[in-house]
Amino acid sequence: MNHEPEVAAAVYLAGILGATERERFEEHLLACEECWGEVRTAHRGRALAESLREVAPQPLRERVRASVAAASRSERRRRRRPLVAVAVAATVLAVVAGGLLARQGDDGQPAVIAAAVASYRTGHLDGSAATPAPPPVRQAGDLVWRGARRGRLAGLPVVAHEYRDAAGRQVTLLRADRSFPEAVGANHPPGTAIWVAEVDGVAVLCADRPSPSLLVAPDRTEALTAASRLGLH
Amino acid sequence: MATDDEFLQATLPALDLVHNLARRFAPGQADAEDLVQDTYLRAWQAWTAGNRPRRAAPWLATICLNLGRDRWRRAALRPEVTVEPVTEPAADVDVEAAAIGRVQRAQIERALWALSEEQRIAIALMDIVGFTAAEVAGITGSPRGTVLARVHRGRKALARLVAKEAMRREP
Repeated sequence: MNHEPEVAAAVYLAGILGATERERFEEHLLACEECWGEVRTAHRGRALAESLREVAPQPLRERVRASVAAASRSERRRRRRPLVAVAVAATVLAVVAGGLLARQGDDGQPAVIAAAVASYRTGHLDGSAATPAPPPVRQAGDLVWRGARRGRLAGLPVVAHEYRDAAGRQVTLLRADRSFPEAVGANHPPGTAIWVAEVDGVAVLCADRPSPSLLVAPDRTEALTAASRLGLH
Repeated sequence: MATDDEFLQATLPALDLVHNLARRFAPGQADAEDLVQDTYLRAWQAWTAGNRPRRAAPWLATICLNLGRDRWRRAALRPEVTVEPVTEPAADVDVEAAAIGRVQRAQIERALWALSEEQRIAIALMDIVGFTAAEVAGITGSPRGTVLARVHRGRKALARLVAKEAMRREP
């Protein structure tokens, strides 16, 4: 067996050795100055780091509560707006006696689109697992492929390919077996079959060829450039 | 129960953890608190989009880590570090241990900031926040062996940096 004091000490201190291996290593420690030194110094470093643990200040707790409550109120207002529109529309409809149909709808995005944007912002993808899926394009212009994950967006299975541009900005390419729902507020650049929308401060672009794809990028220009580089149309 | 109540009930128990992690990114307390708040708001957005993690703590840590890294790279924030890097172990370990015993919290903080970002984050996640090596591997996307090596080398460097500074300050 190789004698690797650094590795042995790291594994020992992580507490992941079985009982027998642990006893054997502890016996070895008594005789091996090198391993003993590794464990002692690292143990000391750990104790120093642990001593930095602190309790969050109470005002911070209140601040987090207040900011989430404020975000929640704002979200509720946003969701209520269509209902108000419906009520107004119904009144107008009654007065005009069946004249024009008022515009009505949920201004909330389809769940898949909202989940794509949330995943882009948080880096979290439901049911995420590494996948050996090869990138559609490994490098295009300053876009460099960083890796792929398999997961779900509001139940829709997707493969998420992450790219970064030269400035370190993230562009995520999501590929699915079926088309993505169209975002509310999407517009179709003339002469193309794609749509682009701004959702919650980021740009979302959708194309069905060469396969159903959704791009999430920091802004519209970046999304259109990335789509062109990745051959989406 | 309103959704924000459910969210806070699931995530607020991890506030100390997120705060401890944020302190390892932000050079000042105010920056750390901003990062904590942004982490919770980002998590809240994901929650309202239907994202309900099985365990809140690693999920919040991942969000905090991503936000902190972005901020770190954009602003190149770093407190002024006065501790010099140590390449050789201190000669007399008993003197070193005694000096460490008298060390101040600020000295440990400074020494931690003198480590590489990867070592500092690995130590923050494992030793300060209390995740296991496997959990840290999941959060950082690095293999467990890499996490263990970073933590181990970081701990040794931390011990030596603190000892060196402590001994230098003593008559």
